[in-house]
Amino acid sequence: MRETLADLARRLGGLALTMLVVSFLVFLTLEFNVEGVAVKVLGQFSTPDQRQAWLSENGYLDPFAIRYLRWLLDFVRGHWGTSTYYHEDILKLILPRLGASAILAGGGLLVMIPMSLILGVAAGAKEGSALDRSISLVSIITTSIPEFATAVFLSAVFVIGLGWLPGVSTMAAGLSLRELILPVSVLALASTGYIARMTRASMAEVMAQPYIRMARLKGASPARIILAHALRNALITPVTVIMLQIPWILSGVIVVEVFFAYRGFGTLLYQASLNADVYLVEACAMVSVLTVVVSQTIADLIYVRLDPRLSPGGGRHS
Amino acid sequence: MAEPILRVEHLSIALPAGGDRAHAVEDVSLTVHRGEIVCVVGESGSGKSMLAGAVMGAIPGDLARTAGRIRLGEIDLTALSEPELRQIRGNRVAMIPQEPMAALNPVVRVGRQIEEVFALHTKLSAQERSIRALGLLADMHLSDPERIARSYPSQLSGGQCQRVVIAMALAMEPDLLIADEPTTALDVTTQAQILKLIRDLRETHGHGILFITHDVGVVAEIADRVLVMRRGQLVEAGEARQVLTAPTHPYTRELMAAAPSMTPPPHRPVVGEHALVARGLTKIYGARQALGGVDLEIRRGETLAVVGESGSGKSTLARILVRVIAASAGEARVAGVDMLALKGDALREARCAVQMVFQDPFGSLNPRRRVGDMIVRAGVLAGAKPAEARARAEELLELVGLSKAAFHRRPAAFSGGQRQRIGIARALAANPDLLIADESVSALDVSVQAQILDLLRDLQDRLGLAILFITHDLRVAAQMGHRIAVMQHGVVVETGPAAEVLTRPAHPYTQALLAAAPGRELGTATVVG
Repeated sequence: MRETLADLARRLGGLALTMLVVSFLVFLTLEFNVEGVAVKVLGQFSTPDQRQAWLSENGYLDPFAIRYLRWLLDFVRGHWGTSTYYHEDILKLILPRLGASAILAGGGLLVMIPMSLILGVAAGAKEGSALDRSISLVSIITTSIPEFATAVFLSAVFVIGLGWLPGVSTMAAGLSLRELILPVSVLALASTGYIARMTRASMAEVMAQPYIRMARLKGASPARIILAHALRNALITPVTVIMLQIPWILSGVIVVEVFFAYRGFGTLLYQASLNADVYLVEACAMVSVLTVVVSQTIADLIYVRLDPRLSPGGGRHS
Repeated sequence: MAEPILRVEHLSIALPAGGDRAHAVEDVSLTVHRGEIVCVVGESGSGKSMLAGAVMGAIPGDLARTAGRIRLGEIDLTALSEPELRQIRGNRVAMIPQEPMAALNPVVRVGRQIEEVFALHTKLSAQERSIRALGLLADMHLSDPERIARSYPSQLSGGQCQRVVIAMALAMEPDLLIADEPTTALDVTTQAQILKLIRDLRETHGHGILFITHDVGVVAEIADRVLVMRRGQLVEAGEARQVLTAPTHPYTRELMAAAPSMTPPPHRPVVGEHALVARGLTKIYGARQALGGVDLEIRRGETLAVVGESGSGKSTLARILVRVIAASAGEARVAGVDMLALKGDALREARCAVQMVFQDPFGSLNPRRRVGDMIVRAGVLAGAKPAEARARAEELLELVGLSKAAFHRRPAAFSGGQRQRIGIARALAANPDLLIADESVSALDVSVQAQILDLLRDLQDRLGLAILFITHDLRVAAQMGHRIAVMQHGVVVETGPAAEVLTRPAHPYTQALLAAAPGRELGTATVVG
């Protein structure tokens, strides 16, 4: 128990340190050149005098280190500033967008995790079988088609051709499941094949281990061998991949969000970058990094549950 | 005679077309009686493990039985369906596998893995299963069975895992036990305990035991009857004593002759200058001392055999001498220069003076590179001009007994023994003062092992090499070492001329190692005969 707590403290410390380093890099990149900040905030038609006045008024003439520490402190306290483009408090702007993206990501994961694991395990359990070859083929095809192509194709069929689904997912009238179907499908199609192939490779490797043969020699049935012996060992690799997909879905699938005009975190980051909205870009960058480190920490904790050899007290007793 | 438990009649298992032979197992017949240990001996690829799989009704891969019958008591295993076979496996026939740790599921507590056998073959309640599993662990002379049952395999030693696996095999009191190289992965003292356990089981429970091994020493220790397999066929069968002392088939005689004897050959005293003088070599990992002040010296033309069990620090010693890991303290003078004090360019130049031949002939050669290129590169790294290195590489290939054609081939084209020859040629390309062989023959079959040992001795005579020969096998040490150093817990507990250490061991640990070496009588018999 004590080891577990110490381990958790170590992980949280590492997480905080990563965030600190990234925050410094973000601040260095975007705010080192104070003139540039003034231009972005006041617009390119502001006069040099106006900029100078704005800079001194907002403490931009202080040394870099002081500005960084002040910014960091504000950030930690939730004072993320005002968006220069939306003219709104950034925290209030980001939270609903994150929520919307989380719904999209959650929907995507809900479809892709069970599908990819079932397909991957089925393929890997009997390597080289007809089932394995067909699953692998379909996986390769879906993985190789980029999301924008899938989005266009699915829209052509279900929106224009059949007219079953709406072509945009603005959620103007509140949460609508119908509007979620297309973006979720595009996300799931892009990742399911990839995770399925990872699971398949992991499963195939586990099925060749001596303890699987031993289970067979004990008299276990094929179903029992897969469920009781292979599955837990085979899941370790896919868990990493799945946890790596979460930040990707949250911030990386700008394509899907923009295509369906989905008002999520991705479109927000996209707008912020297009409009040189410095403070919003900073906030979005920090949130993205936070999702990466948090999801990876969760992944590490899941491994330890899956594989006792990785737990702090789980090695040799010597 | 006791009742026969297993009768295999004219069993054949076909290999896929295009292999080096048509059958993995060809027309094999054998019988195992109650309370009898029958050893199947053979080298790798002889079909002995395939035979074991077939008796369990679980032939590995896509292979299939093409002829013959396997009867377990009154049951004809060859007539059963897969679900019927599942009721037999682990119940009336059980397997003790080769690598106990790998045979246990790493993410399931070992107690649960034993209980699984009861779950599969009985209607016992969870509580009864747990009690029975603990009882089995206690029967295996494991102290603190509760703790063992709660442990994961990675928390146990190899010997403990082997006892767990044996407990699992005995769970249903099977009529027949199949032991497939059950002690190959274990240290010699652990091996001796496990062999004793298996012998005791035969006496107390009267199981029939089919014991598969490549080790003639183990056969001498345990077998009632011996079957010798070669290329899928039985070449000789008979009472253990008779097969071991008066083999009739030429292959059996070859196999017996290749097994290294425990008696060292006579050596001329080696008087050359010192190639290695090491003082106070120490390696500390956190709170653990892997190496605690080791002193060694080796003369030119001399072999020092370092013996010890896993964890004794012998591989740490080798890694320090080639500077793969840094020593915590100590010095190692090779040709007068302290290898451990060097840095940068000086280290890179001096490094050539110590070369290593590795244990695994498959992992230690880059599969993508041609054999010749590897040896040339080793020479160039040691400072030779490319043309010289090339000429030398061709010479070396001949010296280690490979044809010139080997130069342009890749490692995949060679057998384990041939690869070890390539590894030796590569080590020699740097003109080393000291050659370190770390378990270099452990992965090889005895006949191939004998050839590689001959080669090393021959090269030593010709080139005046100093060899640090690390091995867990006392017999190999006896054959190779002018002197033997015995290591335990990171310390050299005894060192001296081979004949002295082996016949008049001074340290209790050396005595224990010698007592545990399987088939000591056999060693003397081979020398006499």
